[in-house]
Amino acid sequence: MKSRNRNVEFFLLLFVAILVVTGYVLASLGRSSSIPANIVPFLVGILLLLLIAHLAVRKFAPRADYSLLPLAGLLNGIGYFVIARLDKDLAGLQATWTLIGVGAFVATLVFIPQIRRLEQYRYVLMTIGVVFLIMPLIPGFGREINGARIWVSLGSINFQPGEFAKIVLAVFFSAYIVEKRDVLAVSTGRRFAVAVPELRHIGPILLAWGVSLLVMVAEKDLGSSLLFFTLFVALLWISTGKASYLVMSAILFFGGALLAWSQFSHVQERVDIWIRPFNDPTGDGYQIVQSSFALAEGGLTGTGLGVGNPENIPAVETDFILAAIGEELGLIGTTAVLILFLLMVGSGLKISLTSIRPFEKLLSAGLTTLLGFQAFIIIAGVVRLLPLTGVTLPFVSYGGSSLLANWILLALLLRISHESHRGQIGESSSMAGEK
Amino acid sequence: MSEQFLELLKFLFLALLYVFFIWVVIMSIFQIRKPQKPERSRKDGQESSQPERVKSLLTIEPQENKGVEYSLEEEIFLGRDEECEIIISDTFTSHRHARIFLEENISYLEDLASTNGTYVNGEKIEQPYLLQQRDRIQIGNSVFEAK
Repeated sequence: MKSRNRNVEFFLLLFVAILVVTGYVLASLGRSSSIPANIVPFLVGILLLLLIAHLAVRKFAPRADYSLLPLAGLLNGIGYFVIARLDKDLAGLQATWTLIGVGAFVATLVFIPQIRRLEQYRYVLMTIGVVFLIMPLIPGFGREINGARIWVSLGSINFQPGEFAKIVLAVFFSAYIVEKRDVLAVSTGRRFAVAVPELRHIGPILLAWGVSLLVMVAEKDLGSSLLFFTLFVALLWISTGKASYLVMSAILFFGGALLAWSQFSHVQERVDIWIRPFNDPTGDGYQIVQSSFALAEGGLTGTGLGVGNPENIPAVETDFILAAIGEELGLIGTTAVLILFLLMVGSGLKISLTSIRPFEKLLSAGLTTLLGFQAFIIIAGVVRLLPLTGVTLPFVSYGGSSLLANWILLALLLRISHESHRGQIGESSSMAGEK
Repeated sequence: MSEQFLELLKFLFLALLYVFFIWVVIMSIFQIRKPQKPERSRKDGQESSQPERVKSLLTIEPQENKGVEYSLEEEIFLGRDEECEIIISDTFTSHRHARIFLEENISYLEDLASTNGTYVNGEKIEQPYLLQQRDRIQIGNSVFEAK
C-alpha cells in the first residue's frame, strides 16, 4: 500500500512534467513561432525538481497522500510557464524561488519528523507569528510597496513575513484550540435562539478579530486580514461544531468591514472600483477593467498560449495571473486551475478526516483552509465576485515568500498525512503494518 | 507555424490537463474503496476470536479502590483534575493525563502529553492505542484493567 501510493505519485509527476513542458513549448510557439532554445535543460530541470521532491516524500513520509505533490507541482508549473511568457527576468527569479521552495519542502519533511512536536512549542510559535505580522510596521525595517506595508527588507532581499506568519499561526491556533477545546464548546447562555458561549470564552475570537483589524488598518493588507480571521473562525467551528461561532464571527466581520469602509479611504476606493470599475477605466479602475477585457477576450478556450496580450494588466504576474490564464486558455483553462485547487482542498480535508489526534486533525484542516481560502479570495477578486484584496494565488503567482511558504505548508500536510496512516490504530493492529 | 495547428495544440493541451484530473480522481476513488477490503477480510479471518469491544475499566490498584468499575462513554478523561470522569489523585498523575474515546465503536486510549506517561501492559504509549480486553493501563500509581 505504501509503495503503491508513491508509485502513483511518481507517474502523476511524470504527467505533470509532460504538461508543463508542453505548456512552455506552446507559449513559445505562440509568441515567436519557435521552439525554445533551452527546452532540454528546462525538461531536465523540471524532472529533477519533481524527482527530488518525490524521493524526499518516499524516504521521509512514505505513507503520505499521493495527489498533493503532483497537484502543487502542476500549479507551480502552470504559473511558471505563464510568467515565462510574460517576463523572462521574472521567470528566472521564479525558477530560483521554486528551487528554494522545493528545498524548503524537503527540509521541512526532514526536520519535522513528528508533527506533534510543534504542538509543544505553541507559545513560541505564537510569538514568532505575531512578530512576523508586525515586522513590516517597524520603521526602517518594513517597506511599503504598491500601497501595502507588508514587506520587510533584509539587505537586498525583500520578503513578506505575513506569508510565513499564516502557517505559524495555523499551528498555534490548532494547538491553542485543542488545549481549550472543552471550555470553548461549553455554552452557558441562550440568546437570540443561538447558544452563546460565555464572554471570557469569546475572548480569543475577539482578539483574532482585533489583530486582523490591526493588520488591515496598519498594513493596508485586506487579504491577509481576511485570511487570518477566516482561519481562526474555521478552526473554532471545526473543533467545537458550534454554529454560534459562525454567526458571531459573521457579525464581527460585517461590523469590521463596515467600520473599515466608513473610516478608511483605501477601503472605500477598493469597494468603488469593485462596484463601478468603468467610472474611471483609465485610472483607478484600469487594472480590473483590463482584467475583465482579458477574460472576455479569452472566451471559452482562450486565444492560445503566447498569443494574447495579458501584459496590459498591471500586476499580472502576481495578483492577476489568473486573468492571463483566462485570456490565453479561456474559461476551460481557469476552470482547470479551480479544479486543481479543489482537488488539493479535497485531499487536505481527507487528511484531516483520517487523522485521529485532534491537533493533527485541526492543523491539516487549518492549512487546507489557508490554501483554499487564499485561492478563493484572489480568484474572486480577479473575476469581480468580491472586492480585490491583493493576495497571491498559491503556487501560481510570482513571488518568493508566497512560493516558499506554500511549499512548507504542503510539506506539513504531507507529514500529517503520513502520520494519519501510521499505526494510528495502535501497535496491535494488523492494518498498521500493511498500509 | 499555422494558426490552425497552434489551435489544435491548444485543445490537445487543455484535453491533457483534464485527463490528468480524471486520473487523480479515479485514483482517489480507488483509495476510498481500498481500506474497506482489509477490514472485511480481517473480520472474516478472525470471526471466532474477534475480541469484544472494551466497555469498562476495572480498578486493580490502589488497593483502597480495588474493584471499582467505570463504564466507558463517548469520551472520558483520566487525571487529577476534578472535571475528569476518572479522578486519579496522586502526584505522578497530570491534571488531564489521558483520555479514552470511541471512534467507530472502537475504544482508544490516548496519552494527553502527560508528564509521566501512560503505560499499557508495561509499555509506554506514544499514540492513540486500540484498547483490547484485559489490557492493563497504568497511570501514576493506579492500574486499571480493560473489560
